[in-house]
Amino acid sequence: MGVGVSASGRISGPFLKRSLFFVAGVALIILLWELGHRRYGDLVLPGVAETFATLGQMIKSGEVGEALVQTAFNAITGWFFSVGLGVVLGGIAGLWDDFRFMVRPVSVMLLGVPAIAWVVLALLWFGGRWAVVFTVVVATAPIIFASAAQGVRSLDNDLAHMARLFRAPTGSMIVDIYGPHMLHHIYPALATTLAMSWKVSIMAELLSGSGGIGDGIAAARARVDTAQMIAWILVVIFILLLLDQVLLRLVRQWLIVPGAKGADNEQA
Amino acid sequence: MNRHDPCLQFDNVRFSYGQRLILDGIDLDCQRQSVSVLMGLSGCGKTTMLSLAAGLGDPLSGRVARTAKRVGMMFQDPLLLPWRSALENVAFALKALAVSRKERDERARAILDAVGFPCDQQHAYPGQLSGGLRQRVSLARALVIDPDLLLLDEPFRALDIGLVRSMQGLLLDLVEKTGMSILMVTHDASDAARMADKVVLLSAKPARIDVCLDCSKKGRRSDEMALIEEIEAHLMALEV
Repeated sequence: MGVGVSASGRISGPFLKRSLFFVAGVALIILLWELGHRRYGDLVLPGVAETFATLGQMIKSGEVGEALVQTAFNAITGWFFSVGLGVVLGGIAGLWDDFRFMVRPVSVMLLGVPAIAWVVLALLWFGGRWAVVFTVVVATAPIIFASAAQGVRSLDNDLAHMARLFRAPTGSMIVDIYGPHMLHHIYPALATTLAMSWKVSIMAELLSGSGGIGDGIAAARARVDTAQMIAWILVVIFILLLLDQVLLRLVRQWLIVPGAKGADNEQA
Repeated sequence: MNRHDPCLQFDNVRFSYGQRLILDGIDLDCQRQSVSVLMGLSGCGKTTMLSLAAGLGDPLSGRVARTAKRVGMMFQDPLLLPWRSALENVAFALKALAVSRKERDERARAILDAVGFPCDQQHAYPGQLSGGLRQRVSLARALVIDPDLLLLDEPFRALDIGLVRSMQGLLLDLVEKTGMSILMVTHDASDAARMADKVVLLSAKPARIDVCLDCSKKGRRSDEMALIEEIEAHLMALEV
């Protein structure tokens, strides 16, 4: 399953069927959008053609490219910090109960505070671009931390015993035992936080006015330019789809262990 | 070191899980170049003895002494790394030794051949292998380090009879040629009779040594049959 083109070069039935349903879904969204536009008018919901024309102008003027670079920097820098912190601290917390008990209140606190509150605090503490990066880190790191800690804790003790019997060195324990096990466990958290980092970054940019897509949305709001606002939303959706279908799909395929439970579903 | 030097000794070993006493005063010597077989009712503490022999736990009292430098073990479950191929699983056991990756792979390949693992499946993952093939990978992993002491926990479970015989032949050959010592847990009296120099029957929990049969003089078929009957008679008596 999941192979779109057969060995003979012909498109397989299930792939064609899935593609048709996908196109039907997109067509339905466009239809509802256009109906909404006709019912409520330009100010509430601009038409499909007008929105895409606005988007084309924004791309042509270089506005989209510049904003994308800034938001990508904020989101990805924050996400990398978050992965580094979450995996290292979560790994340690998974191995040592005392450390986990000590760090848990911090993690609960970070998860409990709404991202919007962090934006306000970060603006007071840092201001500008680093306020955005900081907000992404505090909003996503606890999720990766919890997942990494659980990943290490859920490792089959017998596998660790086996490795101890063969006197596996620490490096090998990380590369062969804990690492692969943890990666399979934290993949959903990595995927979720990667998408989340973009959304949080845009929200923080909107409030901080430090450039990026969020700043573009804030400017469109100030001008009451609904077409431009929806054009920015289309850009964000496009980026998230690209991340999921290209980057995360590659990681998913790399993680698939042939013969493991659920491998066939994953491949599909 | 001569043949009669023990490479593993249990000296009045007691072991418990919490308040539950599992082993009670076990004395056992496993000589070099010999096969000792542990038998007894299910759950009587045989696997616990193997774990203590492997150094994966400490006795409550008494002493487990090992002179063996390299200890290999085949666990009751194969315990293979699901994210590594059969070849990589075997090579994993060599990571503690200072050998290159190339040599690790060569040695892993050779030992997989020796246990009759099909060449074309060496890059398959454990989830793609049958139970029997996984058992063979597990045995190959235990053997690849050239162990002085090999601990086997029901090694022939789920294997076809022809393969059992060829693996038993391989192990006895290694004992003879390398001086390796084997401590094996099994429920099968014929496996024990075929391989053992010594059969140790454990009583029900807390386990003590009930009977220790010296089988080193066996050789003729009739001796082997008589030994199987004797072992089975003792096992039946334990169940009563």
